[in-house]
Amino acid sequence: MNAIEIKGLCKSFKDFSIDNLDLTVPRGCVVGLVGENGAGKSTTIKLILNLLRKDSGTVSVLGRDSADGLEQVKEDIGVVFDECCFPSDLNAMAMGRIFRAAYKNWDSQVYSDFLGKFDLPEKKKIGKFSRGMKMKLSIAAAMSHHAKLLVLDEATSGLDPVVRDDIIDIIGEFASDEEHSVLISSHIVSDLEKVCDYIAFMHKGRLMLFEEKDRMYEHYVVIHCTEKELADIRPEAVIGKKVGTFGVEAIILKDAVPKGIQPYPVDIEKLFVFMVKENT
Amino acid sequence: MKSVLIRGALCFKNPLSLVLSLLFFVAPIGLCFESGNNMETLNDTFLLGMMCTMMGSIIAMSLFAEDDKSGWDKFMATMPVPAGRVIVGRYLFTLALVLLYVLSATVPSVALMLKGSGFDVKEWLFVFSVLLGISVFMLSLTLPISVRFGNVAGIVVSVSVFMLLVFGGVIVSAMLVKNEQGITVLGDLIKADRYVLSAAIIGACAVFLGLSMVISVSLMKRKEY
Repeated sequence: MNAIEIKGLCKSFKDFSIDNLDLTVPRGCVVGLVGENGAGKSTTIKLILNLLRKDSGTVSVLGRDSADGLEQVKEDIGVVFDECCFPSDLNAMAMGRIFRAAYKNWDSQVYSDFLGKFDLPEKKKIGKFSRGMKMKLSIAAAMSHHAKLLVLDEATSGLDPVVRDDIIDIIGEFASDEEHSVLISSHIVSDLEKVCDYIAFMHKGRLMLFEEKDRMYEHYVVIHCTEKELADIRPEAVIGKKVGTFGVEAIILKDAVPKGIQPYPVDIEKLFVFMVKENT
Repeated sequence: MKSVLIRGALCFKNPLSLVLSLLFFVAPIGLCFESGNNMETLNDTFLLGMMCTMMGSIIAMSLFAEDDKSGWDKFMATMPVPAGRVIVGRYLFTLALVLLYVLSATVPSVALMLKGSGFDVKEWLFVFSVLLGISVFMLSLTLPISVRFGNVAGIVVSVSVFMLLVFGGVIVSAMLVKNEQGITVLGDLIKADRYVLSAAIIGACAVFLGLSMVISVSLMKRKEY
């Protein structure tokens, strides 16, 4: 069973729409949702969590169709938004009390361990926390009720590299037992590259690519060549290109590399940027 | 629902200290009025009571506005707490807060009664039920509006309804007072048994609040974030 299964998801707004989106988060995997600002990542996550009503399509979370309500599986979902959503007039200890009342599986010891690990003061008001501290608190809350699925929406944006690295490590640890699944959206591709098993590229409300990360490294390469050499490559094998003063840098399918041209390993950020530019 | 009540209870310290300071300042004000018979108690302390009850409603609405602004409402929607229970929790919290303020708002009336012809339970209950009725009516209107259109709209409506009620209250008070010929315009109302009147007002409060809660739950279930 997949942790999340989306088929033909559509949602229209005045100036933006999610268009026929198919996406799967296999159980035990970390899926990174990559896209520029306004690509539809947060909207997709809100649709998954039933915070927005879909126009059409199906969304299933931990085996439950979201149309039937997710009440029965919410216990198993940990959510972290791009902003800490906790009331600023409360402290971490008070939040613990609220969560203990809300989640049957709330583990006060795990929560307390996380607060200690993150060096978060229990009695300081959340309003006085730094952004990094707030995000750590959000992560601590999401991880302390033994969730099976973690959904993170831009949880690492606006944080310094050290905090980002901490969060990525925790996500990696969470998903290491093949039972837990994670959907994480970000436009910081380097973060996702470290932890994800699958990468999904979104652009203007559409899914451009959804593939296993390792297969991306196997399938695509970067080459440096002339425009004439690039023109000789079959067009469908060229994912994207950038024309510079000293030639062309292109991402192409590995099996299409012409003889005599040195291929280089692709990095996901470059692949994403080239694909977006090719489609703009 | 428990989590909503805990969230409310955790921020109860501020309204509570406000109530205590209110009692400290408001109680002596009751003594400043000229003590008459108990029938005039409501007229004399009406505006003061209204202001106290208004404070309770505004504090509850401010808490909801803060929860909306911080994204806590959105986060709550991802927690295993059904929308209906969130609403019931909120109503219970608001009702508790309003009761606290209404009770403190009756203090000037009690002070005035003690100064005049002595404490009268019937009269006190009437003052209490009128102030509670006004608060509950106001909240029953504004809470569904705040669920549907946001808390700013809720607060705006709350203040507008308060102003209308104050003007309405002043007019009703004037009608209750005997004119030069010794005739009261709402004579029948005054003659009616205070217990019956109080029970009728409290019953109407329960109906209003129940209806409002049903509307809020249905709006909350359809809410998008």
